[in-house]
Amino acid sequence: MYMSARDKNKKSNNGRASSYSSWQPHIIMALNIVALIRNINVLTLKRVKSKGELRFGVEVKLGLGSSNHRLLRSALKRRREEATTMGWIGETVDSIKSLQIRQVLTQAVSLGMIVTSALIIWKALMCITGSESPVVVVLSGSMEPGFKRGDILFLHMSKDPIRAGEIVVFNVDGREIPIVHRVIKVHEREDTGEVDVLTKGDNNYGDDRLLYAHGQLWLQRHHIMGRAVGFLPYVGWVTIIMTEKPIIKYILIGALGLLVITSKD
Amino acid sequence: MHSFGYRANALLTFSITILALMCAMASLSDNFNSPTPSAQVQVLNINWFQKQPNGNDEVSMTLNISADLQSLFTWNTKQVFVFLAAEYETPKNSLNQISLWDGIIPSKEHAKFWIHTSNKYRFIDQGSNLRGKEYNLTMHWHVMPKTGKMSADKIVMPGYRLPVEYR
Repeated sequence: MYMSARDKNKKSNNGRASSYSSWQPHIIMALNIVALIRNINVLTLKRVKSKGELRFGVEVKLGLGSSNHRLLRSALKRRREEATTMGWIGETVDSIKSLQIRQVLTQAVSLGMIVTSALIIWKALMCITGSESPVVVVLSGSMEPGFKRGDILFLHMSKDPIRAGEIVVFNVDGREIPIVHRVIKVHEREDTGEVDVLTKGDNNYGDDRLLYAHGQLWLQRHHIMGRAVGFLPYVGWVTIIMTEKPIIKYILIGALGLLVITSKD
Repeated sequence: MHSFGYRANALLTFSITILALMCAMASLSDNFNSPTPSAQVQVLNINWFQKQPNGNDEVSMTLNISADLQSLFTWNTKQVFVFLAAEYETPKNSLNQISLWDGIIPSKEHAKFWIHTSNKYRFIDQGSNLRGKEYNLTMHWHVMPKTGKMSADKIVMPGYRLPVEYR
């Protein structure tokens, strides 16, 4: 996908090779991934994911669209100049029409490439880690000072049995947002291998029975989405800010679009 | 091509790449540390030991825990989470792990400690199997890095036994 985008950029530079312009899709893609992560975390899983792609698809289109618009304008100008020298107006209109279709198609293809590659990366991560959402953002301070709000956790879901001390991400029936807490008690059945697990937040006074569904004493295997294996501080603030203050997201996207418009071909 | 936008973009991308690389290196550098922690636990007293109305055994004990975890700390260590768990087998369960005490060690200076405490979390069995039960006390620790991979290990201390009679 980088190839196609880079080629396009080169064309827009009229053959001047540009090492910087190829970064453009990286940033757009990064935003795309951020959007995916955010949607998976903060909202429910499957329903919103497609919505998020769609929404971001539009935003990406804005960025690319404006550059293509500019591209189109310069191309049109060139054509017009050619047309005046040739004096064949009807033919020019036809060629413009065909050009437009080609431009739109190229735009659609490269847009599709960006969106799909972001999706491919995400799905590949899902396959490797075996977790439904391999990257989550910590939203509350119940695990401080270990995990603060805005930190990113990498999850892994292996077949290994769950043991005390591990930090697991679990879903409780009736709660939309998954919880990240530490396992403090484990009872594993002799015959079936099923586990009863009790969790507690490091920063909480008591265990999690108050957070569980009414009357639920233990978590079972199916409640658990994964265990935390890696940790990256602060990065999650991007998604938190974008979720809670959508205006900042639009400003960011707008600035990006403006940059693309104002920068030279 | 060399407009402000592209330069800012390039600078941003470059700095993010460098930052990511440094984080990865910091995480990898933890592998060079080979820790040699030590721990001793004494059960000083069984405060009480009884059967709950619902049929589960519960025991309360006083523990004396001393440990030296200083070697776990590297420059990429944010904190060490340490806990003491009782581990035993019952006919119904192949493994029971019950956390009795835990603590967060924020720095190397606090990593050599000695504590006299009763169990912080309730020691309750699933069923009534604790009379005369032999169990291990295991000191677990989970190292939380400033960035990167989390690691964990443990010291198993076998050979503890609960009293044969309720008290």
